[in-house]
Amino acid sequence: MDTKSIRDQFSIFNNNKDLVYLDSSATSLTPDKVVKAMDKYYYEYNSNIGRSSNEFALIAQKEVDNARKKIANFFSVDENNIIFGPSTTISINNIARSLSNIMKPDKNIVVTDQEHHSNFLPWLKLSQEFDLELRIAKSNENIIEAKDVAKLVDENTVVISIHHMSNVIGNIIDFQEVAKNKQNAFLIIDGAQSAPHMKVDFNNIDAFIISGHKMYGPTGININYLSDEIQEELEPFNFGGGMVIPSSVNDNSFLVKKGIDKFEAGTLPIAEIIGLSLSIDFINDVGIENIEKHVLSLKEYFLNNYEKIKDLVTIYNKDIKNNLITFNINSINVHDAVSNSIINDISFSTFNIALREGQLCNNITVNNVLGQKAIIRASFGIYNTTEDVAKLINAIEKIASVEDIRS
Amino acid sequence: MDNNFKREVLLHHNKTPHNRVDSTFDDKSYIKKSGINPSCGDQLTMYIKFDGEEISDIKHDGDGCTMCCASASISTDEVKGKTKNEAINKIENFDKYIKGQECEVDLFEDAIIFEDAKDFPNRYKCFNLAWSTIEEVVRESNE
Repeated sequence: MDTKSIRDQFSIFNNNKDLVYLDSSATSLTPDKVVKAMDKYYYEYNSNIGRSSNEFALIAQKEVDNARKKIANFFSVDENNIIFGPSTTISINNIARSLSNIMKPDKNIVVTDQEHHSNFLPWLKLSQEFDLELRIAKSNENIIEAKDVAKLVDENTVVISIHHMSNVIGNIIDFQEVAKNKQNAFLIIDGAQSAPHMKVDFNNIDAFIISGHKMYGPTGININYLSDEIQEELEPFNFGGGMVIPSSVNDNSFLVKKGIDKFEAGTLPIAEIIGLSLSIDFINDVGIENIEKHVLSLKEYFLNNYEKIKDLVTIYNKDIKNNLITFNINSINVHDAVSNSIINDISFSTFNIALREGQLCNNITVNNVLGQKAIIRASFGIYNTTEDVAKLINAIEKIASVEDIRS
Repeated sequence: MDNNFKREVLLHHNKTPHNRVDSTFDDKSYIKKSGINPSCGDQLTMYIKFDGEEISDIKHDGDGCTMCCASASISTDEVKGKTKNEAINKIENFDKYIKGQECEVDLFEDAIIFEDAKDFPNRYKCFNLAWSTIEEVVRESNE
């Protein structure tokens, strides 16, 4: 992998020479061409779409239509199944809320104990509100497999909503195996962590939710694959302009459009969709298989070279093939490790290493599955190098030697 | 202020915290309240005993980073024996102090060593967790 030519496409590295960015699972960095495409929209043809028919609006409409087509092609699905939303969290909430018609007291919802809060709380809330059972598949030695989910599913399961790759340790569920036993349920996959570096197959599932800003794209935009079946069942996410048949609106009734429009009321984040389109180009240019190979090789490099710090750290996901190193430096609080303080000027910040610490919006996994108060997560993206990994290892060694912050 | 002095005081409170108990502490004459920093999971429990308007005793337990634990230990010394109003006044001034705002520095004993806290805004919650928890207990005791 020629990481130099890739890094050259990200001005942030040029502006921050020593940056070691190991936080791509929170937000990936954005290639220049994504930013430039959004600039171009604002500088050259700024307009709304699906409303006015001036020349700029038509250009913008074409760009958004092309983006949808490109994304659909990327995932090998029909463009009518690609719905744009503002974020993974909001979209999962929208889906959950819009399925309330099928939430009955004798039904149940299946999730796992490794879900991000955004794929746990909407279902917990719904289960409380409509008095139905929330079944939680439990991790076994930190791992959840398809069979652990499948065994909770019965004829009364209305929704199975699970991660493809979890955000704390990166547990991977073969959701196609879950699909084989989904019975009457809608199978919804939180794909925010996997889609940026894994090829995914949307056959046999009902929804797959992706964050734009983890796909080398802008914030404020997410991709939702929604099957025809779930589109039929879902109520509109919002009510307003664009989702209704205008001539049908009167004092006491209105008719909702079918398909994409039903779920995209209001003005879309046009610039962000155009930016996202370019991030799909970026991924296509590199090749999703090459991205996967590269990030896995960085984890392998870490595991082959961390002998000198082996006794200083606890790693929670050594055996899972993903782009994450989830760890703690033994006897050192995560905050002390990550940022400097009055008595400590040696932390990951000192080495310009950006990573994530805390409970990662997932205290169930951190507290209950791993039995930890907090953890540190280093996550790799396509622009990372073995040099970055070596710097991580060296930084861990240095931080672990700071006596003042040891408990 | 001399950096070595600040370091010495912080490390002293961190390694040998004052007024610390373990989680089995169960004296019902103390009002118990926990504070949590959701971003890192640091959690403290403060136990406060009142004698009329006075904080007659205060203890703490919990788990946190060096700043959080040292600040908890110092906070107990700072409010012990103070009236509710004096404690609230000191806590409000401490909040200003760690944000770098003008405040009554003369009120502080060991808390004076947090003069550089303002340079670490991302650690604000670490410095403040014990103090804000005490404040909640005192204010609630007035309701």
